[in-house]
Amino acid sequence: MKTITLTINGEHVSCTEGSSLLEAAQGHGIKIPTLCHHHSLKPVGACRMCLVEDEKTGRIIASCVTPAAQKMSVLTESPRVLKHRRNIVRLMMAEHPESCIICSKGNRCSLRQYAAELGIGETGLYPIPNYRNIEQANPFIQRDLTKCILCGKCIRADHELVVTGAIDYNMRGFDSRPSTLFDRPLEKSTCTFCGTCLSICPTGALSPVSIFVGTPEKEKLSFCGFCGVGCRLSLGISDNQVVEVNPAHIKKSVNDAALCVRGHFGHDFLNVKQRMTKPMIKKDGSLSSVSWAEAIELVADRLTQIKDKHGPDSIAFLGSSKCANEENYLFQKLARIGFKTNNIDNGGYISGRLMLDLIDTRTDPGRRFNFFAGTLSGLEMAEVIFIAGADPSHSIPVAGYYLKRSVKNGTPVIVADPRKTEMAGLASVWLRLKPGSDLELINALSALIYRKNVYADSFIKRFTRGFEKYSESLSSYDLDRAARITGISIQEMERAADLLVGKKIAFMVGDGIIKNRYGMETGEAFLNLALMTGSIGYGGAGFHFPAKENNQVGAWDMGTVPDKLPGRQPLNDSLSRTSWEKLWGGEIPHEVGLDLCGMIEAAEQAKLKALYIMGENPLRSLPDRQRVLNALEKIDFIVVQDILNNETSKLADAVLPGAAFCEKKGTFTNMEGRLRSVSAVVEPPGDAKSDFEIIGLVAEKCGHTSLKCSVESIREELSKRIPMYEKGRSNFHPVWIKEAIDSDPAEEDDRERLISFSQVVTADEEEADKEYLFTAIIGSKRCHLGSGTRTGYSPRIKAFNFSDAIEISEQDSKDFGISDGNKVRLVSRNGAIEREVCVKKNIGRGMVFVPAAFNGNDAGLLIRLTKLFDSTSEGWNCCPVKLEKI
Amino acid sequence: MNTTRTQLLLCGGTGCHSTGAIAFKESLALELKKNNLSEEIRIIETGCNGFCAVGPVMLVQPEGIFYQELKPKDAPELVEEHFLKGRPVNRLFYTEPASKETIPDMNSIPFFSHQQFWVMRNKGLIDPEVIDEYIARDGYFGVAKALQEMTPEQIVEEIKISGLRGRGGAGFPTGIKWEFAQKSPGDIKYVLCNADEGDPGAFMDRSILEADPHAVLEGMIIAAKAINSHQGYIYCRSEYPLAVKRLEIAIRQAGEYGLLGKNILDTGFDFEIDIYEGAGAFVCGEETALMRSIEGKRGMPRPRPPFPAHKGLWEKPTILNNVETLANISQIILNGGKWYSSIGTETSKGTKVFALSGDVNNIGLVEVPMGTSLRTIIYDIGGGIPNKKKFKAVQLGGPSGGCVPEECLDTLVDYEAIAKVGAIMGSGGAIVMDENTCMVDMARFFMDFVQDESCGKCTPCREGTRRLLQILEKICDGKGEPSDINVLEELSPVIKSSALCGLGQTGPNPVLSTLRYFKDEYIAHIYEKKCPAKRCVSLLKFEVDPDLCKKCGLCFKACPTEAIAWKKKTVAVIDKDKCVKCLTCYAKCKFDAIM
Repeated sequence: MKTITLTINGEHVSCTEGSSLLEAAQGHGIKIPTLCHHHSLKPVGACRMCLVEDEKTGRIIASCVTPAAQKMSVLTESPRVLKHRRNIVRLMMAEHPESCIICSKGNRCSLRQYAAELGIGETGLYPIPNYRNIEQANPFIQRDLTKCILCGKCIRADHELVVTGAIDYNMRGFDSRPSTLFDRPLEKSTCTFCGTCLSICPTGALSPVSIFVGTPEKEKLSFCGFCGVGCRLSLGISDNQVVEVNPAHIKKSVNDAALCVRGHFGHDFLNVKQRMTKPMIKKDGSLSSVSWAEAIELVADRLTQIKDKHGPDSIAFLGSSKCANEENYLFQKLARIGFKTNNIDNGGYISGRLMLDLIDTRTDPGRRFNFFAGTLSGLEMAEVIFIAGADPSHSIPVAGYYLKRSVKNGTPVIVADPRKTEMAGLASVWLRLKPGSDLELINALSALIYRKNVYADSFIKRFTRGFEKYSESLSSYDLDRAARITGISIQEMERAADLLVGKKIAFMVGDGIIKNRYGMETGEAFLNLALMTGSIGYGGAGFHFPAKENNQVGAWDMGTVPDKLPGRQPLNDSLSRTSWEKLWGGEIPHEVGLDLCGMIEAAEQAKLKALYIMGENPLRSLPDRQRVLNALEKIDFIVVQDILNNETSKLADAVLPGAAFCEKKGTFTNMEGRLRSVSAVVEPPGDAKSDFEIIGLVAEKCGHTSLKCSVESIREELSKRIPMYEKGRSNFHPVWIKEAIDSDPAEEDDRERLISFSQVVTADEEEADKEYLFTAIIGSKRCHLGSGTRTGYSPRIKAFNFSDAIEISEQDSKDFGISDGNKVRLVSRNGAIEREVCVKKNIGRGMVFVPAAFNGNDAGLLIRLTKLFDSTSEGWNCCPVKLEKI
Repeated sequence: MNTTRTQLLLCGGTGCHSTGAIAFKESLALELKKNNLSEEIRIIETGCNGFCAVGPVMLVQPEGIFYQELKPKDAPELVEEHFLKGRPVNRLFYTEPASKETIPDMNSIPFFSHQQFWVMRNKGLIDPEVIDEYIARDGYFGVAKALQEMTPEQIVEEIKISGLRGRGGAGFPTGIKWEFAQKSPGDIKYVLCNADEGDPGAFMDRSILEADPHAVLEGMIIAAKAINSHQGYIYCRSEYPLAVKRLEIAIRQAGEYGLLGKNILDTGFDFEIDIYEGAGAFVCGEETALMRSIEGKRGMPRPRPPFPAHKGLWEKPTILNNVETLANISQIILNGGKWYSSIGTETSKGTKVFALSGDVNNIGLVEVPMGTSLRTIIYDIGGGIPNKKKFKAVQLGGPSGGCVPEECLDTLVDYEAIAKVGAIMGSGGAIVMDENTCMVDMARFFMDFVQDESCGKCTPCREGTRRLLQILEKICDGKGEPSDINVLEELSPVIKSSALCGLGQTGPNPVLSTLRYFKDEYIAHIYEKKCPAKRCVSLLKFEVDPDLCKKCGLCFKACPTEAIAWKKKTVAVIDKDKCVKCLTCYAKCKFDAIM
């Protein structure tokens, strides 16, 4: 790119062509005040604070919207510039209400700062009040538009970053203000309460509703503790409590200026009274507080006793997709070395680790390829996006913004979903398939693309094997049958195939596939489609799996799984095993251990005698609560190490209070594979300790003193032994397949390393259920994460009272005489729940949508607990139900 | 065989429509029918004739006799006397106000004789709804020449030679604008016509569209050829229904004649024109806001660069020209750029159309060669100031412009010369003000308009124009303070140089130009609490001056609140408790006896 050289305040500076004067100045540490400019928003030149003087022409120009030109010469602080700036601030202040003293923006208000810098104490003008009512009916955002200076940042953030379109300018001139459609309250608009607008607002016009008043004592950077997007946060801290959360506004971070409702407002769960603050042990049937020493002693003694009495495999360890890498690593080490068992898993089992594992294993035959699409920003470069069984606008909202921005930029998007999700509404093609029929849809699309004779021939030849056999089955594939099973006409599938042909695809594959009864087969089908179209390793192409938990990927990478060692190294690979054994100084058992579902089954059979749970709430998050409860009750000794009192902790024999993400040191790996490091910005409440420390204490007491170590020493171990977590890399960038091949000459190509196509597997054609006429689809809403343990405790999320109503189509509501607000009982073969009904246009006949995570996640009652990715699985995301009016 | 012996060119512009042309037309048609003259004598409804002040007007051809202020009851007499007996009706002729002489021949009327009709060459002569009439006047010959004989470069060159500058107000050279767009890479380009005329007192574009819509279409087609565009839009304000209707008819007819659409005149060139009706925001006349509006977004200006010639409508290279600019194009192509540049001044060529209004006898549309003096326009064409009042100033360029006082009346019509005296050429609005106009009040009026039309995007315009208005209102209200003038003088240039678009950048002009020429009036308002022109109600005493009062009682009869006591041969007295300051008495008093 060309370099421009110019003079600012007599100083020679250079910048790249296309930079604005403001950027050129900022790049050289020259400060120019601005109220409407934000690095992630398109410049609009509205506030006119950033005026500079062009020395040659004498013109006053807005530096944010003027491109820097060769040999230009500008002054940023000339008397004329200052005169203009002063008058502009004067004009703004004269319209501004005199309420600075009670404004919670306080000294953080940019207008106030500039007024102070420019010495505008009194404006010398008559005030022209522009009073508006203060709006604070919702528990998230308070709007006091009297203080609005029309910088338009909130509107642009809404349009350009989160692409919601809830607000726009209303009226004009002096009366213009950001407004919802028809100026209705926010809660009656399409606003999702992501709060992006209020964090970007330079004045007190938009502010968070909070019990905290004023300016926090300090602000510290951190990462969001909720979903796997892992947004960068700026935490406002006062009195050792997180009192305010804002996006960190860091360029090129995953979220930059955006957040979602959970991240922005849901973190108030950190300060609730339900936080665990003291170790407890069960005495006479009820939990009572004890000292750490007593609790640790009990845990160590009981675990050792059980191991000695019933053997190592009578104990299981459930790690956490919410805890840090170092903690998970230490936890699995405790299981494998301390207790000689591979009975270790983490909550990622529920939210997709099996799919990650499937794709990784199949594409990674000995070489550390990263099959995944990498950064979410790649979505904005994608040629075409295929979203299947995912509702990212709710499950991982900030990633959803990337998708919406892609749509806005004209990227074609195909959505396969039974429901008209937000993305389906924006998609070029929405494939409204029957719930659970994704396998046949993907097979059919592959067959159509194959028959069009446009597939990535050279890619297939170079990187894959088994295409011939696979293509044979595609050529004989029965499209009519697929149309019957999926409910999508061949013409409609053709439309989608036409969009995919000749392009590299970015896939977003969600719960609808991961928890599908044919989860594994559908995963293989997706992989076939990706291989055939060469959608691997190119910018923007590949797989994205919405990670519901902040460290879902990390927990898997750390080996907190029954069949893999750290670094995703197979347990049954003796070479890797020996190398870890050498490092750890102990033998690792050979047999694959129990996964989460296996633990429940083993408990039912009374084979599992002890369970150590760190940061998971299986009683709430697993389907079929009664069965899980019965199973857990059969376990002799349960340890729950967590941050909140929850359903599972009530069953525990020992409760160890841990620390939340912002109360401890550690690293997390987000869904893109970015490694992020957090440190304690507040102390854990009460006597709570970091999970790392607790594991160390337990291990030490059990006699494994080597496990009582520092976070740094574990990091050292990790970075040395896991190539992906190599030392010195603060961000780990996935290695693309392209780079790997290019650096690896073709003659060295080893047939073993080729990725093989799998055979076409077809789903069974099923008859309609005559008794259970509806299909219930269980899915998430953006207010809650996962099963809602943490978000369910958030006072503000509770206060908003998000609707948990079962969504039903207009047609069905007429046919069954059910209308909005009626209460129904939803009965499956496994269980029943009662909820209100809400009639929706975005759902088809014969389907009901059941929001998960509400009411203790009772939606899980409908589902039978079966092993995911198993031939016996019935799937966890949908099931046949009937509706009974009550 | 057409047996028509006489054509009655009745003005069908919006002005004459509103003074009763339609009713007159109906009764005239009825009268002609009664006398079996419908075949011989045809009524043709033309576009705006220009002499709106005396409407409805009608030109009788071939004699060239001009009738004015026609009423339905005049129809029988006209038919009986003129069309049957051949005796033109004297009392309906134009009367020269000074000499009281009647002038039957249109071209001898001073209002017309000082004008030069280039842009308006077809006004009042053709039926704008019949394309054949336009073609008969060499219409679309320019398109034929441009499409068949000229390369895009030659077209641009010819326009550059002509020296034509944008008639929308800013005066940017049209040929250069086209050249930028021509050289701008891209397959999709747009030609836009700005017909969002919004200045108070301006109606040039409306009249051109109503009188000669094809001339504008022709200009657009030639422009399209010059930059290789295949789609044009006319952004016309929806307050101009007649213009829109005539444009729709013209576009349809041009399409039927193969002059729009695919393969125009078999040259392989395609071009379509659609009309986009604006929703009434003044700021949408600003080019970037206009484009946002066509895109279906809120009409808000955006900063330039990028200029529309590079990134305009839907981010594609675009040219936007004003109605009057486009109406010049075909004549330039037909007669050559040299011909066009033969009249005018050094930097301003051709003619300029003005909408003359306010306190002037001959309100109407006038087209004069560049270089004509303002005095000629106001006195020779406009017929001077009515009611023997004194001229005070003429406001040029609407709310973005400025006022030109008596001492500068010899300024010539020329972009630079007008700018020098503190006004702008603007789109052509010329509002004449007599001695009874309060210049502070006038500035307040325009500032009220500007702040109301501000889109609200940038601070200087949104807050600044509102602030200027507040101060002006205060002054007019008698609450002005000495510091107010300082604030006006400090803020106005700041707003001008820091606002985002042309609206804000010119918004304070009326304040600045009145301060420049009429500061004494501001001072009188502020220091003496007096409005010299007696327009600011708050500063009027509402007392009767016994020396001036002629005891006629007109004020007493007119007062709606019975606040005036009067008896024959006594001076009237106003009861201030009852007076509501409605100014009725003030307007009725012929002797300026009310203070």
